Amino acid sequence: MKLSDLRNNDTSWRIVVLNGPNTKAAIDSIGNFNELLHGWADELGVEIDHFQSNHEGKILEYIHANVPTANGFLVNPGGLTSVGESLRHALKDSFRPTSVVHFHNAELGEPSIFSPSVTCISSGLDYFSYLSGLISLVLALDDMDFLNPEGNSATNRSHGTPKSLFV
Amino acid sequence: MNATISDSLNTETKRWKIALLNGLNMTSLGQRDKNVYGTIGSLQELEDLVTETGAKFGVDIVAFHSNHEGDLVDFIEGAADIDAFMINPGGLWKFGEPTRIAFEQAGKPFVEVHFANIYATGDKSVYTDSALGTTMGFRHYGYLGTLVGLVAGLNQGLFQSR
Repeated sequence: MKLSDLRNNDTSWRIVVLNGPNTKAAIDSIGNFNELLHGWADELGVEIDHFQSNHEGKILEYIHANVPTANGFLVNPGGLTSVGESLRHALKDSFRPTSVVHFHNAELGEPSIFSPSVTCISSGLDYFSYLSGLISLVLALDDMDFLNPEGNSATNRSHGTPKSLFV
Repeated sequence: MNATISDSLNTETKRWKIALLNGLNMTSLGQRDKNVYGTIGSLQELEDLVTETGAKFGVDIVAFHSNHEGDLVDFIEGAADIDAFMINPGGLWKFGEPTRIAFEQAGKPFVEVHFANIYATGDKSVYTDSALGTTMGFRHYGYLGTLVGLVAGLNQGLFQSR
């Protein structure tokens, strides 16, 4: 059993993982996080890149530079969770499906300007929240009627706006 | 870290038993709004998909669904042999206190899964603070990502403190 066996498509989507301020200690405690991410991505058959910064402006510029080639974002806003309005704007402006990621559900339970704004949420499974989000996002990108950027049906959500149940 | 994730999933140390609970209105899957729920055909199709995916990783899935919250509470209270739960509580996300308390009493990790991003309503789920994890907005694909992440973490012993 390989992770790619979960897929019915072999498009090599490019997923960008962003980690905001105050996440460095948690990420460093895992070991070689980049190697881990690339191992997962290789097994799924997709590309992945990771950027961590304590500076919101650097994350914005990384997003601006990578939007043309990115198919989706996994974002742990860290210390920006309740206040990172500019990061939220950059993600909305990208028109790419985005999932927030949190190590622990206590972080998701705190006030967040991202949770209501993003397409998806993957939280609480420690560093495997990134794996869970990655797999779910890739399978959703494979689906023409969901997040696939080539899809044009009424149910396609590749522009990244979540479907509110109240709309 | 050199092992692939599949190596870490296909463990022979323990065969986990994970309950898949689907709550109110999920029996109507297939007839619900496709903007929210996508193209999956039925609840049976979803339960089969999760069960088959679990089998590939050597995990037993026990699927249960009901439109009656009391049935969910009964199931959780009687689930001594279950190692972890995945639940889509449906509309109970807003006020399903009996189910939340049953999970607290069971003391096992549980992950709340929804097809839609419930947080886009501007409200918070009553389960967020009690749950190990939350997956929302990936339609039915969130169940599969969650299952893999949950099993990987159980194999690593990350969730035993709950």
